[in-house]
Amino acid sequence: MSNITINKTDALGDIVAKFPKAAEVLKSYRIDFCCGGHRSLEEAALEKSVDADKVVGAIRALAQELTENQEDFTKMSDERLIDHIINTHHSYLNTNLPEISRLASAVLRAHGDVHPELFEIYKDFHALKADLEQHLIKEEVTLFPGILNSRDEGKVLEEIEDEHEGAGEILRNLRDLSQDYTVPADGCPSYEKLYHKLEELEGDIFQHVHLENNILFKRL
Amino acid sequence: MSETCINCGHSLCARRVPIFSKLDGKEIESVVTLIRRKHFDKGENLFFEGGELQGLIIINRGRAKAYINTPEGKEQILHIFFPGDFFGEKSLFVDKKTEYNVKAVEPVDICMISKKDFQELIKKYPGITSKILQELVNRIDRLESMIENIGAKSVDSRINAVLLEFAQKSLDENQIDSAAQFELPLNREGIANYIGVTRETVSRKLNLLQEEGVIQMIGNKKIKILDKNRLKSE
Ligand SMILES: [Fe+2]
Ligand SMILES: [Fe+2]
Repeated sequence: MSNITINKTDALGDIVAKFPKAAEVLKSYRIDFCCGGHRSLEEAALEKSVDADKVVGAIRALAQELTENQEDFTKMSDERLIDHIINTHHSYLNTNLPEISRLASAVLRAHGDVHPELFEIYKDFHALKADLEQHLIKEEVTLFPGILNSRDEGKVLEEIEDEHEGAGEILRNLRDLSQDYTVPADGCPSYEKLYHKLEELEGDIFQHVHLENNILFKRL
Repeated sequence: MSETCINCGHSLCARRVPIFSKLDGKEIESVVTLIRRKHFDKGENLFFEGGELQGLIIINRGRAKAYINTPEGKEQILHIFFPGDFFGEKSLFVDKKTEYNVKAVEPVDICMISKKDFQELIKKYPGITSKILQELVNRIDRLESMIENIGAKSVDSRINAVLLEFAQKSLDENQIDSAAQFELPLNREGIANYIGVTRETVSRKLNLLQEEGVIQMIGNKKIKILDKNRLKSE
């Protein structure tokens, strides 16, 4: 897999599908590759006023330290890909959303007075949580069985994609509010843990939505 | 999870930053309250080249490398940041793009002061701005006198000197005197960076020297010095 060619005219979703580590680079430039995955890298870079060549350079450099036994999701059957999404990403959310919720309450209680942005973070996170919880179930009981039985779930699919977009927006907001998940000087270890978990959550959701939008749904 | 800044006590790390050096104890305290911290695992990128720099970053623990990617995707390391090193202080005042990638080569803890917080602070305490201004003016003074010194050595003499230097590294005196051919260790761009002029200037000067019969270029990299003394005299 050493011959990875990445061009700035490629669609973001395809770049990440071909080379998952590109996600790291794109995230750092705040380029959305899961919902805006159909756009070309060039377009997206222009929007963020970053030099597309720099982005390509950074991705190429990371591509070279690629681990070889990495799974190629584009080659997985629908069934295996859906299994992977549920076992990895849905299960991650089922465990972590409640845990982050508890953490967020504790931190809000301890630091909300001095750091009022925590109230916003609390609200945003819980909006995200409520939305995702029903979203996961919708995929598991309606959309995914529909895909596996070749039923046309056009309306549900549209809803699902809108919800992905909504989640992306909240995550962007959370990143702004937390100033890139940097912990204030007087923040305690729970504060650190909360921000660490939220950032991890962001990464997991990006990857999750990417697998659905840019790989699974594109086959339909 | 990190123990960021536990040893630093914050005011220490803020004091290291020259633009804060004129601030008194109270003012430093107010700056210190803005410090935010973050942990990066080994191999994680703090940021990539060309992105938005969010503020002043102080490396508090661990080492990080600054590098750029060549068009072929190779890494070119520019600098290693050690604990206590900082960068991005200009981004506190103006929007700055990152000029290189920074990657943690071991677990790294950073302290950060964001532009956003800092702008809020100086609205509240305008005194801080004027002290930082003093320090910046001092810095401009120092730079100006430095530039004067560099400028004193003309572009011509810098190119002449560097050609002689390269010749002496690859040839002995006799070979130089007999106009032996040698290879330049750097391309035009590299020479330009080395002596602090533009690549165009290097190319122009080399052509001029060739027309004047001082040197002879063979291809792009090889060169003969035909008249050593004229390189020395200018
Ligand atoms: Fe899902
Ligand atoms: Fe989904």
